[in-house]
This record gives sequence, C-alpha cells and structure tokens, in this order.
Amino acid sequence: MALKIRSTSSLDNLSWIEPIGNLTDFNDLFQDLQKQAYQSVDWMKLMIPKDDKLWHLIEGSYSDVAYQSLLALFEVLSENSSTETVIPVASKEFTEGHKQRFIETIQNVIFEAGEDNAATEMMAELLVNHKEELLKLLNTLFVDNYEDTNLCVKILSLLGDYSYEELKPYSQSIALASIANKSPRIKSAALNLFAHWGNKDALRLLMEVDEPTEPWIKMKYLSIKKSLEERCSMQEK
Amino acid sequence: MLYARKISEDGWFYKDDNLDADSISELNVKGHGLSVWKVLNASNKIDVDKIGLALAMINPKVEEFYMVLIDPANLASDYKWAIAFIPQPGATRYSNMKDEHTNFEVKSMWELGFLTEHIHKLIQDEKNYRYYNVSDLKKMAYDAAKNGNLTKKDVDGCQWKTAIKEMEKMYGELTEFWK
Repeated sequence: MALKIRSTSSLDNLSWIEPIGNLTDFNDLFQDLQKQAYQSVDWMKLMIPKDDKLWHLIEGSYSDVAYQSLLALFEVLSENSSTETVIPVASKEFTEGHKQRFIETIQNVIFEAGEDNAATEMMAELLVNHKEELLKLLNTLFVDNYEDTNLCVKILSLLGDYSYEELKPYSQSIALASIANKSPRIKSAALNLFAHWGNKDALRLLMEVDEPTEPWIKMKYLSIKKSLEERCSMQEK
Repeated sequence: MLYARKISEDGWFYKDDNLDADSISELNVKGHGLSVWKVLNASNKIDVDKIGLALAMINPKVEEFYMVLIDPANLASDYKWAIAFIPQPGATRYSNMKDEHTNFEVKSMWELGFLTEHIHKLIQDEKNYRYYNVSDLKKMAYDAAKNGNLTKKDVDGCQWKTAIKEMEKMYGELTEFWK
C-alpha cells in the first residue's frame, strides 16, 4: 500500500481520529497499536489512514525522525498484512483464527489473582457471540493439556469470573476433572471455583469428590466445604 | 506469644523438600524489618481470626490466604537467634488492629535463611498454619462490623465494603454500622 502525504489547510473537525488524537508521544502510539492488535481488532483498518488529513495530523504531531519511523512502520505493516488474516472478535463465525488467537493469548498472558488481563477480556468478548464454541474450545484445550499445570490453572482462573449457571456444564466438568488431577496447584485452583460458585449445587458436587490428601489442600477443601454448608443453610432460612 | 505471617500457596506449598528461592523471596524484608502480627493466644480462635482479618485487610480485595504461626522461642533454641523487634503499626484497613503489628529484626542473609527454613519446617504440620477462604473473610468482616470493631471508614473505597453488604443480605442489616 502506497502512502501519500499531502498538506491540507483544513484540520478542523478531526476529533474523530482515534487513537492518534489522544497520543502525546511516539511510545504511546506503539503501545496503543500493540493494544489494538492484542484485542484482535483489525487495527490496520483503524490505523492505516484512508484519509490524507490523518497523515497531515501525524506529520504535525511528531518529530521528523519519529514521523519517518512511523511511516516506515506503516509501510512494512501494510506489505505484511492482509485483511484475510485479521479476525474481528465480534464476527459471526468462530474461526480457526479465533481459536488460535485465544489459545496464544491464554498461553502468553500472566494471570494475577483478581485482575483482568487480555485473556479474560477476550473471553468476555467471545462469549457474547460464540459461547458454545468457546466453551468447547476451553474443554478441549483443558483435556489436551491435562498435564500442563500452568495452562490448566489459567483455564480454571478464566472460569472463575463466571457464575455456576453461566458456563454450565463445561465449568463443572472441568472443575471436577481438576480435583482428580495429580497437581496440587490444579486441585487448589479448582477448589477456588467451588468456593466462588457458593451454591447448593457446588456443595453437592464437592461432597462427592474425594477429600484431598495433601494436608494444606485438605485444610482448604474442609474450609470451603464448611463455608458452603453454612452459606447454603443460611440461604434455606 | 506467637507471631503470624501471611504465606502464599505459590511461595511455600508447591515445593519439594528443598528450600525454595520463591519462599525466601516472599520474606520481603525492608529496613531489616519483617512484618509479623502478634497473636496473644493461639488457642483462642477469636484472637487468631482477628489477626487473620487484620492481615487480610491489608489487601483492598477479599482474597484467600494462608497464615503461619511462628514462635520466636523456637528460633532461639534451634538457631541460637534471639529475635529482636522493630515496632511499627500495621498497614491494615482494620484500624483497631494496627497496633497488633510489629517486625522481626532480620539483619543478615543467614537470619533470613534460618527463618525460611523454620517456616518450611512449620508448614509440615497443619497445626502451625491456618487457611482463610473468601467466604470466611467476608463473614469475619461482617461480624467485626456488627460488633463495632470495624468502622465504616475502614471499609470505604475497597472490596470489603461490598463484602459486608453481601453478608447483610444473609445475616441481617447493620444499620448502626453505616451511620
């Protein structure tokens, strides 16, 4: 794609140009580009200017060196990018591209307790239009990587953002399979799901699994079971 | 008197018998001080739970955690190390409990190693540590609010406020607390 730069005297009414309009320096621009790419939005469509006025704005906003680098970047990206490889999150079809992007995101993102991240955000977006496909994918991913502690814990952590009913029966199947895993980390992460659900069904399932043998997980299991019993008894009153 | 210290699963429980670098890293010493909380009577669940809630309320979010109970007398006998203290109020939101905090004085790499080894030994026996799940902590915060130990100001602007409101739906409204 050839990039042309023309000057124009009228730069009024350009507030619609986002995100460049809000950027204060070149680093911000790169960070924003990366963020856009992470969200699997067709950021090339957003960022490669179709309107010459945008280029004029860029020219006026950055130093010469930065501006030339930006031009070079867009040219390289233009040559290496095609619209066929970019998959908008909100598209109607759940494609191989979606799957691949989601798997890569889960694998690469660091999960912090109670914090949102690129994977949790992507999951929330994909659940809107592709709930069944996404949950099947998570199930498959879990089974295919049952020996991969980190990945399984991440999947359990993703499921922990939703209620018992929202992801039924996939969440429950994964949680029950996790309790039987050899890894104490996976068992522990699964127990967090039961605690999070906090309902009678969660208690019923928890009562049917074997009590963990490792003392510290057993302590956690008994504590969560006791809390669920108290909670359920209060809910019945 | 025993002293409570918060420990994470990742830092302490997934490890084999070797002393793990993650465990040492978690003993975050600042100005030779290692944050600990005084447990006046470890056999009294109410006393222990108060410290548990104080520790939990350092965090603006309600999150599960483990807490190990350390007896300095054992450090003295096992390592010939008489622990000194650096008094300091705790950074907890639970304002009534701030004074239950102090620091072990940890001056050297060796002392930090002794302490890591000692905690590692302690957690081999479940009587030396406690676990608090999220539901427990929410109920403990509700009870503290109900008994007048926690103030409205303590929970402003953090998840603990939401937690108490959630508990009110099950255990009754705390009209006085919110005044």
